[in-house]
Amino acid sequence: MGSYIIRRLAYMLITLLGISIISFTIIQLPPGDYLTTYIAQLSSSGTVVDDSLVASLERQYGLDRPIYIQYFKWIGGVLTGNFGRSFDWNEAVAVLIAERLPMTIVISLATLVFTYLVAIPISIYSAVKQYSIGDYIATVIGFIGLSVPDFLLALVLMFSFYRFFGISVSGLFSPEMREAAWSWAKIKDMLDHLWVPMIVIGMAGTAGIIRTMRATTLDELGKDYVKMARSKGIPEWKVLMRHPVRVALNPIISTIGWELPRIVSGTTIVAVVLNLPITGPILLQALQAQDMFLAGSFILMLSTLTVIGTLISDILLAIFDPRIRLD
Amino acid sequence: MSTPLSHQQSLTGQTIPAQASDVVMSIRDLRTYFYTDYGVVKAVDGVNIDFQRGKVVGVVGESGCGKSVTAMTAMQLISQPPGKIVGGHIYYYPKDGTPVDITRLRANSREMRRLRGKELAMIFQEPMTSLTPVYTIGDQICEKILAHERLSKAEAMEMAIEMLEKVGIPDPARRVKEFPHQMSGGMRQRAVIAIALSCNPSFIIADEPTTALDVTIQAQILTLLQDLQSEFNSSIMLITHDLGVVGEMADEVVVMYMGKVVEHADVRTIFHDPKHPYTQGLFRSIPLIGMRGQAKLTPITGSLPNPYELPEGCLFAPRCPHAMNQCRTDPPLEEIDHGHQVKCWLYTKG
Amino acid sequence: MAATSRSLSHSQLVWRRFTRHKLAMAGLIILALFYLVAIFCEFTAPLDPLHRYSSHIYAPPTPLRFIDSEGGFSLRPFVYGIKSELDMQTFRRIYVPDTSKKYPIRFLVRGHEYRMWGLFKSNLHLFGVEPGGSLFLLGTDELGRDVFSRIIYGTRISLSIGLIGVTLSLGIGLIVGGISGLKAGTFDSITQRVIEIIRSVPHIPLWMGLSAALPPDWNPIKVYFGITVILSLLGWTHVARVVRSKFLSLREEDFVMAAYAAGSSEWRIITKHLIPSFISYVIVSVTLSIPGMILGETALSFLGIGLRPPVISWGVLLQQAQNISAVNTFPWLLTPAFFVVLAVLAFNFVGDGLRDAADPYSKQI
Repeated sequence: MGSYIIRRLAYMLITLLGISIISFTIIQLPPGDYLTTYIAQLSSSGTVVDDSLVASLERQYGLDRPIYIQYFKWIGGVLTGNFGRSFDWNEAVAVLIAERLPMTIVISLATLVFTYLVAIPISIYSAVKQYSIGDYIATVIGFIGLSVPDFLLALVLMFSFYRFFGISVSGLFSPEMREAAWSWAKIKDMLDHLWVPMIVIGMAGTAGIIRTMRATTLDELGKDYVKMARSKGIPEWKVLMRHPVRVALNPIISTIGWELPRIVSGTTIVAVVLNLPITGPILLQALQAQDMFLAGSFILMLSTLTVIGTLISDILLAIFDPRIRLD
Repeated sequence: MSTPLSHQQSLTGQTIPAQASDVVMSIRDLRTYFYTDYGVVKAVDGVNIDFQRGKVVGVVGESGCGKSVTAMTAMQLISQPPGKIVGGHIYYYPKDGTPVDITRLRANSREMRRLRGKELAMIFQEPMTSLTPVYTIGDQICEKILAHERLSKAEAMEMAIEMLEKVGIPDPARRVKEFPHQMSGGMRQRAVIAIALSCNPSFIIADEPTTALDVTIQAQILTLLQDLQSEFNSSIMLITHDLGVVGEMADEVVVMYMGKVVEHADVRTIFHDPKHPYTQGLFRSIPLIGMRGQAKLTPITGSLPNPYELPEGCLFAPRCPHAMNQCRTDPPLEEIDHGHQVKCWLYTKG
Repeated sequence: MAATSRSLSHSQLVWRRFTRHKLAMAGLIILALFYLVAIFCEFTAPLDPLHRYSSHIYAPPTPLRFIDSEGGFSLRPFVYGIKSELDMQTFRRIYVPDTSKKYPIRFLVRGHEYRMWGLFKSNLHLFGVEPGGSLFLLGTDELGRDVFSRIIYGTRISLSIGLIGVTLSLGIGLIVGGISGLKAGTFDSITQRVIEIIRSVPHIPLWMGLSAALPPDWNPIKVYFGITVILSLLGWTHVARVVRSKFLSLREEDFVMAAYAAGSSEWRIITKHLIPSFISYVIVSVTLSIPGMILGETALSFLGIGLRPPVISWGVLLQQAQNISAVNTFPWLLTPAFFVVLAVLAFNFVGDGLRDAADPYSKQI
């Protein structure tokens, strides 16, 4: 178990290194560096830019040094909580991240929980009652869920609610709660709004997990140990729940590894459509304004979150599946 | 062979023939069919077998001959659909208590489940796959004990350790906490046997219990089964295609072909004086230890008929060297000698 | 049955099983139609997608009629002319049918001029109405452009980006996966790590970052290829995994061993034995990854950082639907979504059918 976790940790560090390089590349990609943009912005607002300021900024970001030095300067800053400045917001990137990231985590986790809570019972039912009407309905809904992209679903939901019920389902808080300090009322207000993004983002994942888990459960149902369990004379539902379903749950835990990236992806784009106060809209805005430190840092943080989530799911899997634990 | 002399009413209102001599299970004209998209497969088609208490009956035949389906039907473990028991009876006579007709019980009824765990047990072919990978051996034995006995978890675990010791697993107190993937194939099969024998069943179905094992392990498992059989005085239905195993273990042998019993006799008769051309063919096609030197191995000609389009009459006729006109009608299974039944026109005055 | 199936080749068997899969067949037919329309979009679109009917801004879909205002029935559908009036209460332009002018729908009519594939000049269209009439099957947008014709032109871009993107990722995946599976060792462990990194990061933010970095002064063609490359940069991992695992397992197979033993060269073994035996898996994996590509392009263009007007793709069209109050008043702006979903659904059906058909052991008997 211990060596397994250490190995997963090592893999995670390598992955994080890769992600940081990708994020840094994205920061570096747009033509002109941060400084040029910053100076252009300063001069357009009428500030006189003197050479000493330019020089000090250049030193700060290591712009006069080779690219790998710039990377190390940047990643060193990130590790100490200094993500650079957003010139668009004129604010430290770290502050903006701290503002937006927690709600992103809340929505992603809520979606993750929703996805599995809905998908697991449906897939068990579908597999055990293969070819029943319920199974067909689940299959059809599954296909649609997989084929309707989340941002279109958000759009259609928003449109339908607006048109037929005259209510707006966008945002995460009612207007009067938006600026309010955290309180029970605000949390309740958030929970009232949370279900729309949860369903929208979770739809495709739910459909995918139903398909995977239905297939694995069907596989397991045909195995000898199920006959063995039946031959013990325990009630059929106990046979199913304790044996094939329990075994089929293991690969499902490992799907968290690819479910999380999908949810974070979905959160990003759905947040733009539903105008949620999380990372999506601000990332898009940053990219459009070529506010690259902000954009790159968000990409880095979103990916890091995902990777940590995957590590947690790996450890969970090891706890639940003795075969992995002892490898 | 055992014609019911009198009848008695069981609790469920079925008419059960009185127990003949010391029969523990009596399969009468059993028919289990599978309804697939391509047609009906008559996997078991009119099978009659009596099992004596404390005896080992070997059931042999090629794969697909219906021997496993017969066993699974007796346990009510046929998946329905596509499978269906379309006719016949399986009478079970418990040591003490009222006899039942298993075919009349619902697969998941409380009565059937009690029978399935406590009275009837099954040993499966594949020790690698017949244990659930996520539970310890102990948990898997306890699951069965707790379903049938009023015991605490700790007491059940005590029994589980005892069972493991009985099946010859060394250091049972430690092994009981191990997962299947930590054990070798032979050890797993011992664990499977331990599960089957816990609750002390009187009728055990062993479906190819040694086929998946190494030759040396096979011998150990067979010896173990023999020892346990005599200790518990249980009856065993030993399904195998290995005539060597039959010769070593069985008291009686049933030969099946295409869902029907073609010959039934005690083991000595079957080995020294097989009557049915199919049985003779089986023995000629397989090398046996102690076989007379001049005997030559000859395979049975032809292949199994398509199960969806069975020929009229005797199903073995198309491959039979003695096929004659009469074989266009199906011969009955008749007793030609004391305790020796054959289903062939060569021996039946029809 | 057994005798006939023995004489069929593997691909014939796969095809036979595929044709039994009704949803997959339906998907295949839908896709064939989509691609036909996309290939000949200049011909199939009734109107010029870039022409601004400035007197018909936000005109609703023109209803097809079979019964005229006098109750006369005609089997050939027709449309009425469109009059625009000003609603004196809301001060918005509204469009009412002009029952005095009747335009029957005809096949192969002459309309606006175009160059098919930029090569052949013509003005022939699959269907349309005579000059003077207006046929806005799905209404018009804020600039008075015909939404239906724009969707048809968008089909070409959106569906081709899926194909080209998948071809690119197939190329990368085959090469990387192939070398990984054959050579194992360091290269294999490095690629395994890279694949794991790519698969464990959320794709949309990454796609966003990369496509926002495309220089704004690039011309539409360059942007198109840039987006395709970005999509396939993250999309090749699946094919690579399939190819690698197949190579690894096939290396141990008896028939490959036999070929080695018989002295076949490595290249010959790969091309004659390995590739044919896993080609079906690759086709399945490719089919199932096309929808992801299509959705990727749609999402990026929808956000305004993918393809940009005047290029027409489904995502570009959906950009107009971002404004919820516009959609509420002019719901037909949402119609491109239907085509996106239909195409993705069709690809999923076909991919599913192929997967079932390619794996003969997936179903009993």
